[in-house]
Amino acid sequence: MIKPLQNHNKKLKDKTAIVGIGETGYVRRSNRSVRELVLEAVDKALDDSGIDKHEIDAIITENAVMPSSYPHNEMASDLGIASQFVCGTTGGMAGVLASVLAGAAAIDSGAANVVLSYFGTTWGSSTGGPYAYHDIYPAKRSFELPYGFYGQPVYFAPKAHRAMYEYGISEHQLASVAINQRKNAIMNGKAQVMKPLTLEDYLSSPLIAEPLRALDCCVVSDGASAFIMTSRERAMDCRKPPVYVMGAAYSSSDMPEDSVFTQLPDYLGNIAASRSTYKALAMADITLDEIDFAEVYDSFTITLLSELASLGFVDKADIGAFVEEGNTLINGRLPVNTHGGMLSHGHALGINHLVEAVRQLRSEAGEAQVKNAEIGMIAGALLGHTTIILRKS
Amino acid sequence: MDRKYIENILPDIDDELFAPFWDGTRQGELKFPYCTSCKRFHWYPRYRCPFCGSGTIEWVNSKGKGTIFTWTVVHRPFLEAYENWVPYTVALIEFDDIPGVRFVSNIVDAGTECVSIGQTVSAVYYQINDKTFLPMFKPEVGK
Repeated sequence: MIKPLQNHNKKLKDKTAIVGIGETGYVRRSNRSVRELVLEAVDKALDDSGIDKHEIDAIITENAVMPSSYPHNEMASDLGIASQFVCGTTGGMAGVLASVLAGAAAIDSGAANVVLSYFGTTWGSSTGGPYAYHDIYPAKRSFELPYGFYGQPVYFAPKAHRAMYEYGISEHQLASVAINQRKNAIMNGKAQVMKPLTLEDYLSSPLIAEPLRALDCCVVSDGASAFIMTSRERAMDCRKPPVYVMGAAYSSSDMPEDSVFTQLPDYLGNIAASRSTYKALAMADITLDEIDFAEVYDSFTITLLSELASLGFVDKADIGAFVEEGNTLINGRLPVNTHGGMLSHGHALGINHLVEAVRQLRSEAGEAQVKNAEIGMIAGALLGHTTIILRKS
Repeated sequence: MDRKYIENILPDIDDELFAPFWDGTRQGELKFPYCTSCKRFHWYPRYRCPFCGSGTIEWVNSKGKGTIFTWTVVHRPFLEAYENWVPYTVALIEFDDIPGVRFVSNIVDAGTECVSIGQTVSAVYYQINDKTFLPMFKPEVGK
């Protein structure tokens, strides 16, 4: 069910571009603070763009993690700039990606000229990691904590069992998601984990929450990435070729945030993913077959499979086989997570997925370069969902 | 079931939105919020129905007979509180008389061979302290 759309945002198509990217590299333990990591990524993104930092007049990040660990105005002070527009988008990877939509709208409206966005984390080295993120919901505290329904693997494990039951996904097919993304990570050479992964390794990795094993779960990381956006016109004389924002759309879910892991009427589907993808494609005025590669939310192996189905790339009955047959490898039919994704490259709520897409569209991905990559999709969830479509200049 | 509960994982039974649920469990009743405007159940409790936005919500009793919609056995404790629990079974339970709701709970008094999608279960109530009774579910043998 896709709700009718009032506004396809066609007006924003190709009006803005990502012109700078920067990344620290992702590791389990960095012995560095979030702010040091983010500043390094921001400096690299500025250098990559060739834009003077004083041209930055807007700071936009996701709204759940960064505003407390690196507030927008602290960033402005640390850079010695005056921002005239700040904005926090929603949480999770949907929020990181929604910064692109907010940035495009801010630039197109004239509210901003050059937008800086960043995300950094030390979840890799801090106790509790990303789990405590969900403690803010009273209903989850009262109705889930007493039963030990806590921690993202415990939310996604029942989804995996249900998907095995409804779609016939096998244990080997779940394994193939981790194995194939590791192959991409190794080709790419920038990932946190680049040890070759076999089916035997997978099957001997410890059970976390059945049926999910340690190797079904994304890594936890220390690291940061940043990117810089500006108008199509200003993008013309940046250091690197611009990567245009062709489509960008967000959709909330049909359930409140505290209920989204358990109560969605279509438990395995993601209505927000289908809706934001439909809208982003409409804005870009293209169809799914024109997407050359995709960087997709993959907190767990099962997450990637259900995303690929909700985005519309594969029928849900075929998703396990689709990955197992190698279609998502760099030389496959639809290369997915060409850097290794959250499962191998790093967990930074998918800002690393966006940065990788830009590298692909500038033909800077080295051995992992997708041949003839002209249009890429970046898609990510948590409580809502954002879909971004970028194209090379 | 001899499981230790520490204070910080117990429900807030005085929360005004949740109190009717916990009051019910003390009487051995399982009740869920029902929107009288759009005639749908929802979960968790809210001030407004998540489907139609109406505030006309009443609580309706379930017979407490359900089926396992999906499940997991947790092996890695993500909080210190669960360290002496693992491995433990968490399931999402659906009820014939409360369509649209999935209740997160534990499956107790059963080996994991009894835990599968579609297994029928019935509610049992575990007293944790003076006022807190947690509904749990046990498989119905032979069904």
